[in-house]
Amino acid sequence: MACEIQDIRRALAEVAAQPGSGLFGWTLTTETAVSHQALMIGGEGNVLTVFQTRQVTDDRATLRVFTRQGAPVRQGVAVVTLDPMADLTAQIAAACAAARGVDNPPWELPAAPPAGYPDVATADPAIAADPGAEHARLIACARREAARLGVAQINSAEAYVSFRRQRLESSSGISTGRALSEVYFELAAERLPGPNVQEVSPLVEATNVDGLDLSTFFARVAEQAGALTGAELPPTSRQATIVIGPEAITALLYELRGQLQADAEYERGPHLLPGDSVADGPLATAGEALTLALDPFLPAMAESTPYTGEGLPAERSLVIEDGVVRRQLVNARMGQYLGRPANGICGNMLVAPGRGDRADWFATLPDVLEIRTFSSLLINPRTLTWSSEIKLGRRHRAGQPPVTIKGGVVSGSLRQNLRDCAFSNRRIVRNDLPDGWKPARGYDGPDAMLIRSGIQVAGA
Amino acid sequence: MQDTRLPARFPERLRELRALLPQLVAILEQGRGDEWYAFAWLEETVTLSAVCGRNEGVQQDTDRGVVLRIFARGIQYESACNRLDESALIEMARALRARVEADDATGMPLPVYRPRSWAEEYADPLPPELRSQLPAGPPAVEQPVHLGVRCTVDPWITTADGLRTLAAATRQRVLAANGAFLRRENAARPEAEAYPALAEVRVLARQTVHTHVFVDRTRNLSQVLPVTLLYALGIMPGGQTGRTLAGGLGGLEIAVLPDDSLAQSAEMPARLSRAERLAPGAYRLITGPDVTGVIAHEAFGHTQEGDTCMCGRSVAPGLRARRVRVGNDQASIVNNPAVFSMDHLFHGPNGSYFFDHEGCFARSQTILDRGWLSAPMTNLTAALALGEPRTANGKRESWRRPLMVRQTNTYFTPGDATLEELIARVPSGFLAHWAHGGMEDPKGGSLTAGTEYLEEIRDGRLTGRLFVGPTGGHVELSDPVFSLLARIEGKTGSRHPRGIPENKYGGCGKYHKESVNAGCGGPWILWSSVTCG
Repeated sequence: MACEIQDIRRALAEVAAQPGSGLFGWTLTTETAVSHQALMIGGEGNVLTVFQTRQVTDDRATLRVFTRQGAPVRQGVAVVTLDPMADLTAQIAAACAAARGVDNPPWELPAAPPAGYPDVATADPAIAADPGAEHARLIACARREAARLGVAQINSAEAYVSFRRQRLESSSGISTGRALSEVYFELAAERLPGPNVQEVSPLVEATNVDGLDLSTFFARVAEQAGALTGAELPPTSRQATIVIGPEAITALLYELRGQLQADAEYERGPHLLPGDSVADGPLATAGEALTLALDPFLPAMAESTPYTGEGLPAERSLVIEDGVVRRQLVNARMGQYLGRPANGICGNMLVAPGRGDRADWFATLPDVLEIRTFSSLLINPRTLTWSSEIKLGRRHRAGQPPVTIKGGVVSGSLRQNLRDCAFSNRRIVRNDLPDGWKPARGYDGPDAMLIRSGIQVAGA
Repeated sequence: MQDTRLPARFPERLRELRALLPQLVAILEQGRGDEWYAFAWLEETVTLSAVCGRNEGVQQDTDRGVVLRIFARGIQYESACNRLDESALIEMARALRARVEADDATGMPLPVYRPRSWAEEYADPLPPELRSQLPAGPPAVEQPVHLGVRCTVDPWITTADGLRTLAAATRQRVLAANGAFLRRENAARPEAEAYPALAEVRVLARQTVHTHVFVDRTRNLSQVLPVTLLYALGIMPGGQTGRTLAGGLGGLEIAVLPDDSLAQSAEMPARLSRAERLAPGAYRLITGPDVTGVIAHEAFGHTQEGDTCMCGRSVAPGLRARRVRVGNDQASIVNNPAVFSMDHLFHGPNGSYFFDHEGCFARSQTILDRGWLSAPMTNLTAALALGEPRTANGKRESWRRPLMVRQTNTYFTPGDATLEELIARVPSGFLAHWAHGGMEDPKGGSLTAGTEYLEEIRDGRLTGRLFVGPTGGHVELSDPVFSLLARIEGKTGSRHPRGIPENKYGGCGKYHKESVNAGCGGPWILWSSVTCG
C-alpha cells in the first residue's frame, strides 16, 4: 500500500476545484528506499559477529501545498506526508485549510528549466542493482581488514547500505528525479594490549562501498588506537594555536556557507553579502585567505545533485575567493523577496589547497594542539562561535616528543579564526551522509587547517 | 484529589492492522518456539507542527511502519516496511522466516529466550500509573491491553491550524514583551548604548502522538504517548539567542508559557549581546535541572547502557566488578521510564512510556547509588549477553532504525536544600540554567555538557552579570566523570510524593546518531569545581 502519483494528482485536481480551497500550487516528492544494516561485536582476533541484522523498505510521498488568500495577497504553505491509509482528497483539503492560515508574502514557484537538468552521477550502479549484495560485500571487506588489524581490539562495528529513488514534481511543470546511494561503516576500537579506558570510534561515509576506502580507514584506526597512551589535559590558554582535521573543517565551513544563503539575510540574522570579508578583521601577514567553491556535479559525493530542493537546476560556482564573498546563494523564493535573480548554487565544498604542511607545522611552531577528534563540536550557525571538549589530540612542542591530550575545552570564533589561518597542501575527499543530526556534506580540500587566532582552551 | 484526566485512546484506524499481528508472529515462530523467539511491532507517529516567524509554515506527518523480528542463534533478524496491506505483511513475515532458516550464520552465544507471562509480570511490582490501567487480574494472551497517557485535552483533536494559532499568539506575546523591555531598559540609556530590538522571533508549536503495538506469544499491548511542545526563540541582529519552552508528555494543556517565562526569549538575547566573556578555567558552579539532567544522562547514563557494556565500550562493568566508588554520597542517578508526573507538575517528560520497543514494562532503576554502580540498563540482547535483568530500555529511533539500549528519563535524585541556600554557599562562582548539548565518553569516563551562559554569584548572591564562553559562544563544561561526581556539595529538594524531580524535554543521539526522546533532569546541584571553557 503506497500513494501513487496519479492518485495524488487526481486528488489535487479535486481539491483545486473545491470553492475556497485557495490551492495555488504544489510540489510533490516521492521516495522509495531499501536499506540493509548490521550491528556487530568484535571478538578474539577481531572476528566481527553480527548480532542484529535488518532489511527495511520504505515508501514516502511528501506533498507541499501553497495557497493564496486575503488582500493584500498572502501565501500559505503546508507540508503533508501523505498517509496511504487515509483518503487523499481529504488530506490535501485539510492541508490547504491549514495553509490558508499561514502568513507569508507571495512568491511564484520555479518553472521547469527549458534546457532540462544536468546529468549527475549520484548513485552507485552496484548498489542500485543489488543493495543486499553490496552490504554483504561491505561486511566481507570489513572482516578481511579487521583480521589484519593487529594493534587494536575492535569492540563493535556497524555496516549500512541504502538505495533511494526520488521524484520531484510540481504544479509549475517540474518533473525530475534522482537516485541516491549511501554507505557507512562505523567501528569502535581500543589499543592492545587491553583492557584500557580509552577507545576510538571513527565513522566513514560514502556513496559506494569502494568509496569508503576501508584499507585507509583501518590504517587510521590502527594509528589512532596506537596513540591512546598516557593522555594529559591540554594547558589553559587565552591564545592557543591548533590544527584541525577535515571533519572539523567540513563542519565549520558548512556553517559559514549558511551565512551566504539569502534566507539568512531575509531573516535579519547575521549574513554575508558579495564583497564582504569572511574574516571579521584584517588578515595576519602569515595568514592564508579562504577560497571556497560549491560543486554539485562531482560524481559519487554526498552533495551531488542535478537540482535544488525547489527544482532549480543545480549550479557550480566560486562563492568565496581570497577571503571575500563572491556569490550569494539565492533560491527562487528569496530571490523574489529580496529582488535578486535566483541561482541554483549548491553542492560539495571545494577548498583551495594551501601552502602548509602538517608535519612542518608540528616541527617548527613552538606549541600547537592537534585536535584529532572533538567530543561534540557544536557550532552556532548565527554567531559562528564554537566549542567542544577534546576527545583525542596531541600536543606538539618544537624539539620535544608529542604528548597525547584528552579532555579540556577548546573554543573558537570562526570569523576570528579566519584572520590568521593556513591550509595544508594535502588534499582529502570526504562525505557526511544526512541524518537527524547533520545535513549531507561533501568536502574536497586540504586535510588540515592551522588556526592561530581566536582560540581559547580550558584545561590544566 | 481524583484525577479526571482520561488515557489517550487507541486509534480506530489501526484496529484491523493490530488484529493481523498475532498471525504474523505465528508465521515467524510456529514450530520453532523452542529455539526461536519472535515479535511484531507496529508504530505510528502523527506529528502536527506550526512555525511562526518571518517565514511561516505548517506540517503534518504521518509515519507508520511494522517491524518483524526473529531472535535465533544469537542474532536479532529484523525486517521492516511501511507497505502495510495484509498480503505485503504476510509476505514479509514469510520472507523473514525463510531468510532465518536459510542463514547458516551464528551470532553471539546467547541462551534461548523465554518471555515472561502475564502472571509473572503481575507478581513483579509495576509503577502505579501503569498498574492502574491494567486489568485487575492477568489477562489472556490474546487479549489486547491498552495503555494511554492521561490528558486533559484530547490529543487526537489537535489540528495544525490550532497549533498555528497558538504559535502566532505566542510570537506576538514575545514581541510585545521585547517592546516593553526595550522601553524600560533604554529609557535611561544614551542612544548609542540602547539595546536594539529582536531581529526575529520564531515560535514552534508541535504535537507528536506515538502509538505503539507490541505482540508476541505472551501479550498484545498498545500504548499512546502524546508529546507536546511550545518553543519560542528570540534572535538578535548579532545572532545571540534566548529560548523558552514548555513541553513533555501530554496534550495541549501542557503547552503553556507563563508571562514570566517569556523574558528568556524576549529579554535574554539582548542581555547576552552585552554579556562578558568567561576566562577559561575551573569554577564553583550550580547547575539547574536542565544542565543537571544532561550531566546525569552523559555521566553514568550512557556508561550504564547494557549494549555499550556488552561490547566492551564502557568503563562501568570493570568498576562495578572491582567495587570502585565513582561518586560521593550525593551521587545517585535514576533511569525511570515510568515518569507520568514530576516535582510540582502533573505531566511527565517526553522520555516516558509504559513499555519499551521490545514489550518490556517500565520500571524505575537506580543506575548509580550514592557513588556505587548498579546493574546496567538493558535490552533483550544485552540482558542475555551480560546475564543481567531485563529493563525497559530497548528503543529505536523509528521502525527504520535498529534497536539499541537507550535511556528514558535520567535524573539525579533530589536533596534537601533550597536554591537560595545553595547560592548562599558560593563565595565566587556561577549558576548554569540552560543546557546546550552534551556528549558521552563511556570508555574514557569523561563528560562534556554545554550551557548557554553563566550567571555570576559573588558572596552568596547573584550579581546579575552574565558570561558567555571565552570566544563569545556557549560555555562547555568538561571533567572526568569520577572526579566530578565526587564534587557534589548540595542538592535541592523535590515536591513530588515519590521524590521525582523535574525532568526536561530532551533528546539523545547515541554515538552522534539514532535520535530518540529522552527526558533528563534533577535538582539544582552545587559542584565544588567544574572546568568551563
